[in-house]
Amino acid sequence: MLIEVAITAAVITAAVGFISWRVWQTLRVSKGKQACGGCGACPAKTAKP
Amino acid sequence: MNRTDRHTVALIGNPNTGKSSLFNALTGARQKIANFPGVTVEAKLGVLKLEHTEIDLIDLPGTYSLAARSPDERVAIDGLLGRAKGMAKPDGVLIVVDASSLDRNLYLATQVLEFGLPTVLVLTMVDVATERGISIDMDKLSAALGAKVVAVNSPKGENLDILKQTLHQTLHHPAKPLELPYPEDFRRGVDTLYQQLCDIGIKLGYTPARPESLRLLVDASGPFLEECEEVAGPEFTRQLHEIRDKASGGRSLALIESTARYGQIGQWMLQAKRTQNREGRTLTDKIDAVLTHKLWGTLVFVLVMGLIFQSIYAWAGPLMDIIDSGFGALGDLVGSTLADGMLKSLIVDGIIAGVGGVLIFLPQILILFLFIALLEDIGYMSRAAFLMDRLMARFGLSGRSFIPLLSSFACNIPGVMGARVIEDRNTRLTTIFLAPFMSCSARLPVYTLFIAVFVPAQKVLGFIPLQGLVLFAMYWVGVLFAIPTALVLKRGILKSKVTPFLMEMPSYKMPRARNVLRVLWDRGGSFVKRAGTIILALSIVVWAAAYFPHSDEIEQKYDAQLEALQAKYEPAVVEFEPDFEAEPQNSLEKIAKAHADHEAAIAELEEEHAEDEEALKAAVLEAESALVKALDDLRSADFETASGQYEAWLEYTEAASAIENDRAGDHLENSYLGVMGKAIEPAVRPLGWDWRIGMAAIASFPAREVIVGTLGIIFHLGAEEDEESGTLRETISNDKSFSLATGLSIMVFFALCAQCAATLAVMRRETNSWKWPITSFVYMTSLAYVAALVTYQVAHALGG
Amino acid sequence: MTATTLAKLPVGASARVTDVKADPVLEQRLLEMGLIPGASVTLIRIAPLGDPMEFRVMGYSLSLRRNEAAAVAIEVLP
Repeated sequence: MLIEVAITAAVITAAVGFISWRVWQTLRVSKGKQACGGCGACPAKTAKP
Repeated sequence: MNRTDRHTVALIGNPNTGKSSLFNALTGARQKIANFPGVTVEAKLGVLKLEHTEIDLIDLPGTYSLAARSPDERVAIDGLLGRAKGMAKPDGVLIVVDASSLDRNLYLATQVLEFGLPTVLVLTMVDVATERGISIDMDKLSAALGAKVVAVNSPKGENLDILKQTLHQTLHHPAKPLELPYPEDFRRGVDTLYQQLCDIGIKLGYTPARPESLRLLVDASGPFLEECEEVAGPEFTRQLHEIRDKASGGRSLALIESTARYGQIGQWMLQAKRTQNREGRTLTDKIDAVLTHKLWGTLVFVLVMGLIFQSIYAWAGPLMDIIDSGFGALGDLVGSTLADGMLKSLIVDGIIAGVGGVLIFLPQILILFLFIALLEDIGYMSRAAFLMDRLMARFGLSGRSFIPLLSSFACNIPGVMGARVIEDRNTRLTTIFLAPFMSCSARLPVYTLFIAVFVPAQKVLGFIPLQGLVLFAMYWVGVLFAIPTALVLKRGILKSKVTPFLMEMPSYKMPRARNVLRVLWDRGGSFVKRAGTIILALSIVVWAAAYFPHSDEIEQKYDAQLEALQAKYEPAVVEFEPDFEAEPQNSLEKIAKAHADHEAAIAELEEEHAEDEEALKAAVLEAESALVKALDDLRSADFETASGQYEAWLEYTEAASAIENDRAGDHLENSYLGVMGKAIEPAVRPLGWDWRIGMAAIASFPAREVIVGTLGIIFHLGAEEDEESGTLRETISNDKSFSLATGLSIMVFFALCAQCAATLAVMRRETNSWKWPITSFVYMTSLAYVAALVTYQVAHALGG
Repeated sequence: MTATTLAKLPVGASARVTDVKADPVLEQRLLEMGLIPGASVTLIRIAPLGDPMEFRVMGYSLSLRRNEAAAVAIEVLP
């Protein structure tokens, strides 16, 4: 039971963390620091040094 | 590896020259090739491996000229001069030139050769040229240009090794800038301006190249001019006008430049090109005679569009069933291994219902992209623009807006980004604003789900399937609202002159399977990746919001109800758990099995005689008498008792599952999501939505397709599991709060809303202001709300 | 030989460009695409809705709107 709660909590924390990271990334895109909004429809990668 | 051995080479050329195809053949990089002007918006980088060295190859966007009137066109010059972020300055250039229209292709080549970088000219489409009776003397061409010339066929891989060797040799020899015979005044103007440019170079932050002063002299507008005027002030502008006046001698500077270039090209061609006059039309002409014909062309256009939407239904069905049953089996497997509880609910109701609900649409998305990739590769897209331009012009847009808007049907983001090819700022902003109105592939799951539930699978006029027709109509909803929006924008705040359309119509090409498969692989892969990352994460969060707090109070309340129910029945009934796989041991089990067999038989018959009601009736009657007979055979001493127990068991299980349903529903209503949903319910009630749909719509703000997964989670959690809970589609069709009117209102809402964070972010970047994304979100959301409201109220009044 | 503009060329007819006069951006684009004085042009077809028009110039197909074609002065070839 305790393990179950622990796993569930870990999964939810990871999910929330991932979403926050994506939100931060999206905001970066809007400021022009990254090339693409990440819809994935254009496989073209912008040049990186 | 020695630093001096590493080189950077720029790849430049007109659109539709097979430039990207060559880039792929040289580097093996994964990227898209499209037979349409303006698709390559960003430069791509790949590594070309030679025997002793490696070359970084920069694929610059296809362009007809280095004159940069829009930021997009500036990429080519910046790339040549190594000014783009993260790119080294190229120490060589590959100019890709289409041999079948050599003269026009050489125009750009003369501009690039003026930079004086070591250059190799790559001839493509020599076979097409030969077919048209054009033969090119490569030695003479090479001598005239002062650069090596290599003919390649990149799809077949011919001469690529020779090209690599030639490039390697060329890089070690310094090159001289090409000198063109400009009139004396013009040349002096370029020189004077170059002095000025060098003086302001410090303020610009980079050393301008000599050919840039030619651009500054000739180009009447553009980002470079704006930049110079900004850093150098009004005095510079005044001097620039003076220099221009002197250099032009009363003629147009653009005319002087282009006649000098084409004049030189004409002389070269006299030496290097022979054209045999071949009478008769080329294959492209013959195809175009049909595809751009008044009647046939329009008919083909409508048929092609219709075919795409129809095949999304007809072909995807079987594949979707496979995915669906796969996830069903996975859910069953997890359900039977894990004990009831939080973790099982997370996996079954959260992850499998959420991610599986979205992934099931993979086949439909692949089919949509298959068609888009095919049409692009063949060259039909520019014919579509040719057919549609008049219509677009009427709304103040250009045929150029058609390309970004058409690709918006795949995804709004490349649509918004593709608008960069439009020079006029106001037309560009209008196109960006309209892109989210096009129904992107993320809306497709929403449409197909509700159409499958509410629209009967019947045919109109005997041959047009109604479901495909409704889907087609949904795609038009966005377009219909985009039209007045465009008119208002163009007449009001974004008024502008009509912008140039001016488009090359490339020759038709056979689609290359490798290109098309690559597009499918990339698009399919990114969809799966999305489902595995952001949608997975959102599914988990939505599940958590819908599952917790999961209070003990509610648990105890229903446990008590269940206990009270169990007390009413004898233990034999309560503990009875029939296992139909095993051989029945006692009378009760035998009776239950007879009934279960009977039900299975009826289900089978219903499927078998789905079309023929009379036959079904007769078969059911027969099955019923078989049941009576089977029960007769079971008559024994305890038959009456067992029969009674069976009836009681039926009654008990029904009551027990009703309690479990109430328990699940109660938990959901008291969850965080439920409490929030109840709070907003008054706002969505007029749309025919209950709080669950309202919450699903809000939770799908980051990405539209999430609504399908969210609904899956909510409905899974809101109902006690049993073997017959089935797919989301079945659940919705059994749910009383959904009607046709509700389904239509959801579809209309999603056709018009701006529920896509990524699109809004890209809009912010492309317009360089929060004004546009915020306006877009507020405008589209209110439009979606009102349209959904009207849809529901009208459909409801008509009895839907 | 009659002097007119590309917009008035009948389908199938050929002409020689004599001058290009338009706003700077359009003018430059037309010139770059090969519509320079002296170039010969053929009207291949007109789109079903009456606009744009498809020309053959310098061995390739170029589609122009009617109002853009009107910026190109021509003399019709017999």
